[in-house]
Amino acid sequence: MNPKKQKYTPRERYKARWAYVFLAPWLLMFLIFYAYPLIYGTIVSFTNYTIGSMKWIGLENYRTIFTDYRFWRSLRATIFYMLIVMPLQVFVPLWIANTIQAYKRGFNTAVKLVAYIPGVTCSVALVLAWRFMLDPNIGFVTSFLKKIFGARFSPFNTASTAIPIIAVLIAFTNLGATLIIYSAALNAIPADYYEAAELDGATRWDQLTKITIPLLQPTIVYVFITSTIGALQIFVIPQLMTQGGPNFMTSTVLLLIYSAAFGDNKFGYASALGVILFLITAIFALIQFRITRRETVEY
Amino acid sequence: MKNNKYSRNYVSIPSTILVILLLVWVMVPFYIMFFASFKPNFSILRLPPDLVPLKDFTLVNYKAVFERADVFLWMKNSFIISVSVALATAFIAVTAGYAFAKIKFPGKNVFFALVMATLMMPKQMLLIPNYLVAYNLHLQDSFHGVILTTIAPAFGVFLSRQYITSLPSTLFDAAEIDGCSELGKFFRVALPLSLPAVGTISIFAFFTSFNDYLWQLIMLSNKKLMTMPVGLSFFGQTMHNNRAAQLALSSIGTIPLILIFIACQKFFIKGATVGAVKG
Amino acid sequence: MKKKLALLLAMILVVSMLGACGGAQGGGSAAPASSEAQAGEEVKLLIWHYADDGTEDAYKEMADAFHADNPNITIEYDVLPYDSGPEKVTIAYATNTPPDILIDGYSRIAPAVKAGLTVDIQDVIDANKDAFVAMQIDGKMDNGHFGYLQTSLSAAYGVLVNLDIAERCGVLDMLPADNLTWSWDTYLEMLRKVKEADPTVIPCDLFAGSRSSDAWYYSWFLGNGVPIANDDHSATGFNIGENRDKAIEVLELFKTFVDEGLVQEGCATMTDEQADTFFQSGQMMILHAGWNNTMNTYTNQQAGTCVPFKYGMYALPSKDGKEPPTTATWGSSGMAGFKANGHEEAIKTFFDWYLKHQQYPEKIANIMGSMSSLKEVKYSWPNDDIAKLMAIGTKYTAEKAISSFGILEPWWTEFRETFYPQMQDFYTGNIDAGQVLDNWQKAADEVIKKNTAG
Repeated sequence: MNPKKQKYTPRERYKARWAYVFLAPWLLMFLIFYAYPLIYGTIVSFTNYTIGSMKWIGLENYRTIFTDYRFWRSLRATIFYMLIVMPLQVFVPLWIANTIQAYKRGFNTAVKLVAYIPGVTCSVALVLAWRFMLDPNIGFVTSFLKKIFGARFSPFNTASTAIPIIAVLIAFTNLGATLIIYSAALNAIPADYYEAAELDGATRWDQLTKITIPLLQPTIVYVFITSTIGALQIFVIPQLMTQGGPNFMTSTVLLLIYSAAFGDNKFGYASALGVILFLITAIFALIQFRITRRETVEY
Repeated sequence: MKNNKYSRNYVSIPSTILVILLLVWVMVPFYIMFFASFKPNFSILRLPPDLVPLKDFTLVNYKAVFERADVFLWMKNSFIISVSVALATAFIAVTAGYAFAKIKFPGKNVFFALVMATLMMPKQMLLIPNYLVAYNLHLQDSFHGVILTTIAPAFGVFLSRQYITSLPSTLFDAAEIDGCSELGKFFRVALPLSLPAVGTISIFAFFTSFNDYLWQLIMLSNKKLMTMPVGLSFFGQTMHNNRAAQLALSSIGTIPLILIFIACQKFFIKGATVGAVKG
Repeated sequence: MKKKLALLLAMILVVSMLGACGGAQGGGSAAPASSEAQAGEEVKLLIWHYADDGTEDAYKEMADAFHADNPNITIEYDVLPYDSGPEKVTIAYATNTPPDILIDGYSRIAPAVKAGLTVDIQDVIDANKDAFVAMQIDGKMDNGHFGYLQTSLSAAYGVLVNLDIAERCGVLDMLPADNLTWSWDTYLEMLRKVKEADPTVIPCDLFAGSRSSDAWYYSWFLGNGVPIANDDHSATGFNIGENRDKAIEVLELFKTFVDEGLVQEGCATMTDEQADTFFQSGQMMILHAGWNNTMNTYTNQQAGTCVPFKYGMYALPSKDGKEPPTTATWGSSGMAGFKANGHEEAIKTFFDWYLKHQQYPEKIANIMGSMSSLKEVKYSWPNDDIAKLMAIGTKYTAEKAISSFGILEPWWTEFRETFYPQMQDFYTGNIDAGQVLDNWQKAADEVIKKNTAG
């Protein structure tokens, strides 16, 4: 992370000063509304902060967390969710974006809109819809699965079936955002690139792998990293579908944070969980930055 | 338009059919929201819910919405908050993103790590410290308070940095040679070219803050400041948990979102054409 | 340049840390109450209450009447939704930024009372002893004084029965005539008959529970003579000696329900809300519910949000069916006044006035269908059936319902988290009844020990 010793020409030094001007609005927001809460949250994680009292207890919260089976189960489930959700969120929207690129604005817009709608549909409707599909008594997807796996099959009774089902729901509920990003990036690729490639006799596959994907690389990195972060912070849908059960097998770390803070009023403990989740996320993001760091492609 | 000939514009029928099938599946909740809002509540309680469109058709839910919900006030409030958040987020994101993408300056990596760190911090953990900040700055129970505390520029900074990185540096060099100042380079070159990113960031920020139920509930207590998602929750409750009425209200609430979406869509395309001409 | 930057970052860090500590103090300890409310000074009291249909006007009327009697005190309301309203309250507690008065259930007020955030109202209670029906059972602060004003009692737990289904399936005569006394065998036989008569009907609800819906489990246990905690509430009591056998009997009964398909599928991970839907849509005969649901179901049917059907409220069955079982209740709900804004005197003035003008709480109690703990409150139930059911329920609550099985202890909120995961494992078939009790005891005792140690 340390920048190498760099030499700046006077011109560059002048420009660098402008960089801080451009950064200023972000920095201001960051300091007031992020740095402070972040540090506060971290400090609190070393206390037994609850309603009306806050005492320094050192690493006690962390010790409790690492000996708690609920944490390990939730962590395992969180990573399980991520491993399914992340690739779906990276590649399915890319495929859709590439497919609809050929169409005129009307259809193109309609697809993006439709993909975005679940993200803005009220949760009452979402819950109704999922029950309609997945309720163990009457859901049509469940009835179908029962035909395959037998009448006693109950998809939410074990993590190995519940997590994939929930993960797919999550990935498809959040298709729209990524699709829009990919579409915007695809639109920005100058058309002459394809024209030139076609003149050189490049196939469509060549054009996809040699032009589209390399030029989209910064966008793909963005989606890759943000969907990993997002997947590690999955929370609402498992809560609505299984409450994290049976016995925390489909729970997530964020679900634990929420119930520690708002169920047990253990704000210190919740913060410690938050710090751990943050560190896990940071490790994943760092690995991804390493993997994806290449020369940036410019056009 | 010659555009249609390029092979990225090739129409793949199997892919298209798959996309449409996927979208049909994705649309189920919306379908339920819309059609169930025209049914009496108990027919959607039934399991499996009765989803035949227009069976037991009734307007009673919409009547309840207009009689008992302050739809227009809630909508207006949500718009004030979300539009401000969208504009501010996009502005902050593009300025910072430009600095990260196109200017060499000391501490760049450290600052960028901070951007990423804010993206990774679980928001639920920060509810209490965030509220403390807001309270101590006397921001609670006011629009500007919600707006200031909802602006979350990190994802936008990252997105616009990624986007602007891929703009050709030659354009900026050329502008400089033409005598553009640093500000000029930003406003004349970077900003117009990153319109697709601006559009994307604004749309996300808009929708995210439009649906930010928990934070708005915590921050705003005054009924006159009530927003759409908070209002929706109250409305369902004071209607004896009437889900059909809730669905009617949220159907109404979705219409402006769709309009906003379509309006912003044009923004993406415009940015793209600028890019194409320049390329 | 780099040095400067490092310096800048270090400064930011230090400043934020200082700020954090300041904030921590502000959040942690209650601000001293200034002595306001000298005669003539204007005070604005802010009350938070939950949004219930039709109560808003009644609350407003009360505020106006109070203001007329006390011109220097104005009452304002903010309403909370049940969905995430508790989160808003928790944040207000955590940061010590509560309203002046909160109207809520005891389980959500208790943490604030225990933490000393609430106004000591012992003198108001002493001055108005005659205003109450029952003696206050909870709400004590560390000094033994009352930290909140009890306004209504939580009802006993039992089952709500769809009588139309019962009639259709020919089991109407199996229900107890007094609504209270029947046996497990009768209950089980009835469910089987329903299942046989109409396979599309779900005879009874069952779900593993969650933090908010576990009361009826405690009711089943208490009803079979199984205590939740031991005598002095220093450890669990359900797994000791013969209690263990009785608890296993209860769990085995649930397992029979599951194995014979007498309850809905997926009960391991289903929520109470999901089970509710089956009942409200007329597809389920029996729903576990508090007695006050007698009234709620009526209002829902009146509002047309629920399929109209005839229904009755019954006590849970007891093993031998000789007398009505002991059942659980959540104690009470009421009003807590907070010290944070320094309005102690005005809050006490309002509480005192409230107890002396019971026509206003009466209106609210009637709208909500709750059992008031105030003496002068008269009920006007919408019809004779409900009046009869509520009379039975009130008597049953007074005689058999207890709330002292642990909910008043400081370990309670964490304790209840230890239960439902075991039931989830039980219903999926991962563990047997004995293991449920062993696992639960181990987890629960740990929680009790940790919370009573410090």
